Amino acid sequence: MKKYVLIYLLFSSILISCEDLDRPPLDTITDKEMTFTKTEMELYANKYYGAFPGFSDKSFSLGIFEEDNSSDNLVSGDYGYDSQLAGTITVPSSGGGWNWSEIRSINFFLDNYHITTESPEVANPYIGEMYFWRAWHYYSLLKQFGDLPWYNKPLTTESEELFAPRISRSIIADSIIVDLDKAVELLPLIDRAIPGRIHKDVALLFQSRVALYEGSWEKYHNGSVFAVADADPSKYFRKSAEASQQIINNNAYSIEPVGNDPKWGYWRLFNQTDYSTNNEVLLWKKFDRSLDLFHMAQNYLGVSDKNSGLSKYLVESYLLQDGKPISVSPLYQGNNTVADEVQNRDPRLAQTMYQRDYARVILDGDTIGRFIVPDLTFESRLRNTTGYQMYKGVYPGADHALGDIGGSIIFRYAEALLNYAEAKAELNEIDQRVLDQTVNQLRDRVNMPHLTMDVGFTDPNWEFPNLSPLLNEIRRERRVELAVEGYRFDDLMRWAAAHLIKRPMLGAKMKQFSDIKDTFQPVLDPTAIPTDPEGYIAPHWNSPAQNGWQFDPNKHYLKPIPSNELVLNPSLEQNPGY
Amino acid sequence: MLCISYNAFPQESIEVSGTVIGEDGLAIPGATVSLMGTSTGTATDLDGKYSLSVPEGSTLVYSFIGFASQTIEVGDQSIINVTLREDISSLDEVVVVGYGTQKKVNLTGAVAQINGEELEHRPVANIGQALQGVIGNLNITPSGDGGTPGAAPNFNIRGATSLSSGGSPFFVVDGIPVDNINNINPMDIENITVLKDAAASAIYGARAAYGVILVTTKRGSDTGKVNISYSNMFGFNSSTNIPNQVNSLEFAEAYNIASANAGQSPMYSEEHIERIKAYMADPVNTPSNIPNPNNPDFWSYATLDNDNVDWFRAFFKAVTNNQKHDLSISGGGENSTFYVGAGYFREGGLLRYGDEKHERFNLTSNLHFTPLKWLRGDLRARFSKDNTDVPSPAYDGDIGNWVHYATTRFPNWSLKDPNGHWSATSVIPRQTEGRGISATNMINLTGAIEIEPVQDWKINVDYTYRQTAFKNSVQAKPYPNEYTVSEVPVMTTNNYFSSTMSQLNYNTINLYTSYEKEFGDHYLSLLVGHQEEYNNYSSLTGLKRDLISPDLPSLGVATGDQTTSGSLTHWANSGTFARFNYNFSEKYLVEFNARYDGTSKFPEGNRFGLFPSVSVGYNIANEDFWTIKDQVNHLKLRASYGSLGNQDVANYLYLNTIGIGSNYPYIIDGVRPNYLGAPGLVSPNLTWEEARTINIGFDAELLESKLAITFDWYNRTTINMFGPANALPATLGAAVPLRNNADLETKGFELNVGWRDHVGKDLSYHVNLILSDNNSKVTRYYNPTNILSTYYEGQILGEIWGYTTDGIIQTDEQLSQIPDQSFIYGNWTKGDIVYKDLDGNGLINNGNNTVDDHGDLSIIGNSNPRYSFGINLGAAWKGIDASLFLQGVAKRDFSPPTGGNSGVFFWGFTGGFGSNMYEETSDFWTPENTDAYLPKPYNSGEVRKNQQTQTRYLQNAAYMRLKNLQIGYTFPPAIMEQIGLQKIRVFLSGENLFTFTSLQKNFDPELTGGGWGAGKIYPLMKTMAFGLNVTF
Repeated sequence: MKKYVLIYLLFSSILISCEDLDRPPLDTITDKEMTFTKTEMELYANKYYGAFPGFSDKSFSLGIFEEDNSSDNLVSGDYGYDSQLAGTITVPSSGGGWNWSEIRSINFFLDNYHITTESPEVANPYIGEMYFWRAWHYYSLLKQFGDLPWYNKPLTTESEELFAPRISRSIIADSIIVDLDKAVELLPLIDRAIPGRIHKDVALLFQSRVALYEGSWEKYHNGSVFAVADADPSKYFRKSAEASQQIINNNAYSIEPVGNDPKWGYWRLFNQTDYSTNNEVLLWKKFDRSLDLFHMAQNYLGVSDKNSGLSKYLVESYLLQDGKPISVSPLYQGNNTVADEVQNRDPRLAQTMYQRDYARVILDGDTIGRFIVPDLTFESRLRNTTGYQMYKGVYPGADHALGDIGGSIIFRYAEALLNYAEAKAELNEIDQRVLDQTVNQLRDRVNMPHLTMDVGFTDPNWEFPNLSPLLNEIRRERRVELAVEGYRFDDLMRWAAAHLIKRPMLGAKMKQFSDIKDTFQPVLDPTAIPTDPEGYIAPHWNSPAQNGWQFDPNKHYLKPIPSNELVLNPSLEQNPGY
Repeated sequence: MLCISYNAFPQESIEVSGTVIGEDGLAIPGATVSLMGTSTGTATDLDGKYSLSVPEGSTLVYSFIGFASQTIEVGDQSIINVTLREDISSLDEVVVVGYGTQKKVNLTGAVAQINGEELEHRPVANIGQALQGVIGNLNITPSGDGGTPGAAPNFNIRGATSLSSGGSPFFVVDGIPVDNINNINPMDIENITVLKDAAASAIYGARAAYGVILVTTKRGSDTGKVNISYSNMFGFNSSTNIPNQVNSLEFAEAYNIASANAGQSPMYSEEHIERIKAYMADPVNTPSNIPNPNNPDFWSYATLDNDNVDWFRAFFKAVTNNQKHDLSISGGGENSTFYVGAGYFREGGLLRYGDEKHERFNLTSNLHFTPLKWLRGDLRARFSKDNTDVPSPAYDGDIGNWVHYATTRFPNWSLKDPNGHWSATSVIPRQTEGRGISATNMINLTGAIEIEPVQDWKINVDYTYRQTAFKNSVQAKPYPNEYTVSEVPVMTTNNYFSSTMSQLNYNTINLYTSYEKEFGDHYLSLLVGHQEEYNNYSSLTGLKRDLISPDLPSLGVATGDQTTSGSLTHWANSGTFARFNYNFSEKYLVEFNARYDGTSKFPEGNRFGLFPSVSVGYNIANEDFWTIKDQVNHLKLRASYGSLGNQDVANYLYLNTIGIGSNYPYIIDGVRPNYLGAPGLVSPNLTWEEARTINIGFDAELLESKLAITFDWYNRTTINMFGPANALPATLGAAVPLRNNADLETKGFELNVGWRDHVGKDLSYHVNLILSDNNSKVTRYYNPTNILSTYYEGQILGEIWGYTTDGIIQTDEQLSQIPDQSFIYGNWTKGDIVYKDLDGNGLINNGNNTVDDHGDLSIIGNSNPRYSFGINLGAAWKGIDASLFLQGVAKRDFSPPTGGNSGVFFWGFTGGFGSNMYEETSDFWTPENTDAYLPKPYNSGEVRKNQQTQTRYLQNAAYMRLKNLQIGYTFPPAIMEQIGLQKIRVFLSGENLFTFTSLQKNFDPELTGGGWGAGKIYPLMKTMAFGLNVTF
C-alpha cells in the first residue's frame, strides 16, 4: 500500500510545481508601458545629445577641430580624406550616411507623446527638443543627399511610405524650418533651461543656419544639375535673417575677449573647461573627470593635428591690421617664414596658428615644450602636413596621460552674427548698422578695423570675383572667425565653390624649415617633403590630387544613395553623376 | 552494470560455484551469472568467483559487458569454470537515450555513443576539445577565444541550424538539462551519446531541435568491491602557429614603398634607416630609441624608434604547462552503490608576463540506493569550480587582444627604452598590472526515485536544483606607462575596481512512467512523462574609482565615483512527452515519440507546440533468408522522420522593449544622465521555428563484427525560421523585425567505418574512420529583389561572392587596356589588380548587387567546412598501446578580409592603423618584383581597391591535423600482484602535433575568424603530456 501512497504523492508534487509560462520582463519596459511621464520624456530625449559635434568620451578625436580637413582650411596628409571632395567617392551598397534610425526614434516620440498627462509647461521643453532633433537629423540628410522622402511618423514594415520617392529639397528644408519653428515655440529661454539642454536660442541659431544653407544652395546652384525648380532663395535668406535677428535682439549674448585679454581672448575662447558664464556660448559640451568623462584630443591637437595642417589658402585669407588683404596691404611681410606671415596680421591668425615659442606641452605643471619646427615626417597619424600647425583649440595645460576636460562649444553667438550679416547681404538689405552689429563686433574683439559698406580696396584674390566686394569680405570674415571649427565644408557646398576645392592644397614654404634643420636633427629630412615648384609644401604632390582634387561640380556636391536602396525602393533615383 | 537479484525459486536447488576468467587468464569481477529465462542470478566477486543455488537441470548464462555471453547446462556439475571471450560486436551494448536506455541493436534513430575511456587521456582542457572529430557531424570548433585558458569550443550537430538564433545542441547530463558540459571532468564520464535526428531527439521536444548530447557519469558497481583510481597528467603547451614579423629594416623599406605608392612622403628617413641598421648590427651598444626632439626629456614615441622587435615573441612565450589530477572511489553492494570522483585541472597561458591561468575543480558523487525491491533512489551531486585569472580586462578586453597588439606594433617600435624600462609602445605592464579574476561555481543536485510497483512498470520522479554563481572582479591599476629620459615614471591614471556577481538558478522536475513487456516475439514499451523547468538569472555589478591602495583591490578601499548596474531575467518551460517502442523478435522495429511543449519565450496563444516523430528499423540479418550471415552478421536499415521546435531564442522577441541606459556621455545639469533607448520593431505573432528531419541509415557488422559500418543520410529542413531582416529600405529606420518567414534545408551524411582485429594473441588493433558532411540552402526568404546583401532563395550558405582576378597590371600598355574599374576606385596604376570583365560591358562593378544582376561578381568559393573527417588508429601489444588520431576538413575556402586591419595577416599593409609586415606578406609587387604574389601596397584607404574579394587570393583552408598521438604502457599483471595494485599505466600523449594545410601560414586553419580581425585569436595549444594511471 505504501508504494501507492508514494506514487500518489509524486504525482501531486508535479501539480504543485506546474510552472506559470507568463514571464514578463523584469528589468525593462516596453513601448506599450510608456506613458510619457516627465521622467520618461526626459530620459528618452537624453540620448540624442551625442549627435552634437565636439570632443568625445576618451576619444583621440579632435572634435570640431578636425572637421575642416574636409575643406580647403586644413590639408590632410591623405588626399582622399574626404572622398566627396577628392572625387574618389564610390556608390556604397549600403550605409554611406543614408541612416534613418534617429528619424524613426524621434517620430516614435512625436507620434505618441499625446497620451502624456503632464501639463504643457512640463512637457513642452521635451517636445520642443524632439522637433529640434528631427530638424537636426533631417538637415544632415538634406546636406548629404538633397531631395529626400519626408516622414513624420514611425514607419512599420507594412508602410507604403517605405517605397516613396524623394521630394524636392526645398520642401524638406521648409519642413525642417517648420519643425524648428515648433521647437522655438516650445523650448524654454536660456535662463530657464536646464544646463546642457537645448533652449530656444539654440533652435533659432540652428534655424538661421539651415535657412542660410538652403537659400545659398538654391541661389548658387541655380542652373546646375542641382538646381531646385522654382527656387526662392530669398525666402530662406529672410527666414535666416529673422532667426538670427531674434537672437541678437534678445541682448543675452555678446562678443568679448575671454578673460578680458585682447591678445589671447579669441584663442582662450576655445580652451575653457567651463563656459557656463561665457556670454558668447549658447550651448557647450562639458567634461568632468570625476564623472569619468574626458577626452584625449590634446594629445594630438596642435602637437600633430593628426596628419593635417592649416592650408596656405586659409593663412592667406587673414587681413592685415590695416583691414586690407595681403595682396594690397603694405604691411604684409611675405610668407618666407611663419614668423613673417603673422606680422601685422589680423590677430586671429596668431591665435589660430602655432608660432615658435608658443607653449606646447606642460606636464605636471613644469615641463614646457616649445614649438621648434613642425613634425613633418612623423608617422602619418602624428605628422603635421603643411608646416602650419593648429593653435586654436590647443590647451597647453592639458594632462596628456590623464586626459583633458576642456569643454567643446556647440553653438556660439558669432555664428548668429555672421549668418545675419550674410543673409542681409544676400537680401541686399545690408547697411553699416548691420555691419556694426555683426562683423564689427567680431573685429572689435581683436582690435581690427571695422568693415565698411565700401570695403575700400580691390583684392585680386577675392575668392568669389563675380560677387560684390562686400559679400566677399563677409564670407572672408566667416572663414577667419570660424576657421577650423567645421563650418567650411558646408559653406563650400552651399556657395557652389568647386573652383576653391579644385585648387592644389599647399602649405608653408619649405625652405624656412630646411634652413634650420640642423638644429633639429633627426626629425626633419627635407628631401622627404614634397613641394611644388615654388617651394611650398605640397602634401598631395605625389598623389592624383597634385593639381587639385578631382571634384566634379556636376556630381560631388551630393553623396550617392547606396545602390541597395535603389534596388529595394525602385522609386528612388540616384543623385546626378553617379 | 546494474544487477538486481531476485530469489524467486529458493527450493529444490543445487549449489553451483566456479570462477569466471577472461582469455588473458585474469579473473572477471562483476560478471553476471544468471538462470536462463529468469532474472535469478548473481555476480562474480573480486576474484571472479561466484556461487549460486539453481534448480536441477537448469541452464546458466554467463555474461559481462564486452564479452560474448556463454550458455552452459548445469547438469550435475557443481563447479563450473568459464572462460569468456571478448566480444567485439557492439550490438549488445546498451545505449543511453532520452529518459532511458535501449539496446543498440534495437535503435532506430541516428544515435552515436562513445565511451568515456576514449576521451580520458587526451591532454585537453575540456570535453569539447576531446570530442572534436570523434563523432560524425558532431562539429566542434574553437570559439573566438581560441586557445585562451578556460575557453570553451562551440558545438554543433549536423551543420547550419537556424539563420538567426540558437543552433547549439541540447546538453543533458544524467537526464538533466545543462547549459554547458565543458565544466564536467572527462574522467567522470561513463559515456556520451549524441542524438542526431529528430526521432532520437523528439523526446526533448523544443529544447532539442538541433540534436542532443547526453552525458552519463560513472556509477559504482554492486560487486562488493571498492575501486580506487588515481591518474595524473603533466603537459607542456606551445602555440600551434606564430607569424614571423619581418625585421625593422625590411619593414621600414616596405613601409616607405607603401607610403610612396599612396602619394605620401616616406616615414623612415635615410637617417632613421641608418639608425635601424646600426641597431641591428649592434643591439647591445646602440640605444633603441632617441629622445623626442620636441620634448627632450621624453623618449620619442613609436615612429622614431629604431628597435628591432618581433612583437609576437615579445608578448608570447614559447611554452606553458598544464596538469591534471583525478581521483575516484567507487564500489557498492546489494543495497547501494557509490561513485565519488574528484578532479583538478590547471592550464597556464602563453602571455610572456601575463601569467594567465585557468583552473577547474570537480567533485562528483553518484549514490544509488535500492532499499526495497521495488524502490530505488539516486542522489547525484556535481560541483564544479572554474577559476580564471588573467591580466586586467580594463586595458585589453579579452586577452586575445594581445594578438591584435602584436599586429599593430611595427618592428622598429621600442620594447624597452634605452634605460631598460618598458617603453610606452610596449604596453607590457598591462600584462601584469591589475587582474581580471573570475570564478564560476556550479552546483547541481539531483534526487531521483524509481518505483517499480509491478515488475516492468516503473515510475520515476526526479528533481534538480542547480545554481551557477559567477563572480568576476576587474581592477584597473595605475602603472608607469613610460619613463622619462631622466627616469621619472609617467603614471597612467585609470584606477578602479569593479565586481560582478551573478546567479543563475535552475529548477526542473521530471515525472515519467514506463512499462515494457515481451510477449513471445513481441516486445513493447511505453513511456509517458512530464517536465517542468524554471530558470532565473540576476546579476549585480558595482564599480568604484580611485583606490587609495591599488594593492588591495576591493570596493572598500575605493573612494571615487561609483556606478552600479544589474539585470534580471527568467523563463519557464513545460513539456509532456511520450514514447512507444515495438519490435517483433528484434527484426522489425518501430518507435514513436511526441512532445507537447510550452515556453514563456513566446506570446500567449503561440506558446505551445506538438512535436512528433516516428522511426522504423529492420534487422534484415536476423531474417531466416539471410544466408550470408558469416560475411554480414548484422545489417539494420533505419528510417525516421520527425519535427522539433526551437525555443532557443532570446527572451521577449515579441515585445518592444525599451532599454534603460546609464552614464550617457553628455553632461546635463552636472550629471551623466540615464536615458531610454528607442523601441525597435517586433512581430507580435512570433512562434516556434520548426526543424523537420528525415533520416535514412544503416548499421552493419561484417566478418564476425570485425568490420562495423554505420551510415546516415539526412535532410533537415528548418521551417518558419526567424528570418533576420527581410530586406526593406533603410528609411524604415530600424532593424526589420524577426518573423517566422524563412526556410532552410540542410543535407548531409555521416559514415563511420571501424575495423577491429588482432594478429596472433598479443597484437590487437583497430582503425576507425569518420566522414561527415553537411550543406545548407536557403529555400524560402523574403527578399523580393534578391539583393545579395542578405539571404536569398537558393543561396548555399557560406558562398563567397567575388571578382575574378585577371592579374596584376604590369605594363603601360596593359594599363591602357583595363576595363573601367572606377566603381572600385578612381585611379589605377601598374602593380594594381585588374579584374575580369565577366559581363563584357567594359565596366567592373557589381551590377545591381542582386542575384539576377551581379555585374562582374560571381560565386568563387564557399567558406563552409565540407567533408569533416576523423581517423583513429590504435594498436595494443602486450602491455603497450598506441593510438593516433587525425582530424580535418577536406574542403573549405577562406577569403581574406577586404580592407581594414582585419586583413593584416594576409595583406600586410591594409591602409592605415594595424598594417604590418610578415614573412608571409612580403612578396608584394614593386617595379623590381613584378611577379609578386600580392599587389602593390598602399599606406592609405586606396589599398582596398586591390584587396577586393577575388579569385587570386582565395585560400584553400582544408586541413588535416594530428590531433592526438598517444603511447601507453600497462605493467604486466605479475608485477601488479607483487606490489598489490590492480593496474598501472604510464603514457605519453601529444595534442595538435602536426598540421597539414596549404593555407597561408600566418593562419591556423581552425582560427581564421576572430573578433579582432581574421586570425587575430589567442593561439591554439600544441601539447606534449605524460601521465600515470593507477588503480588500487
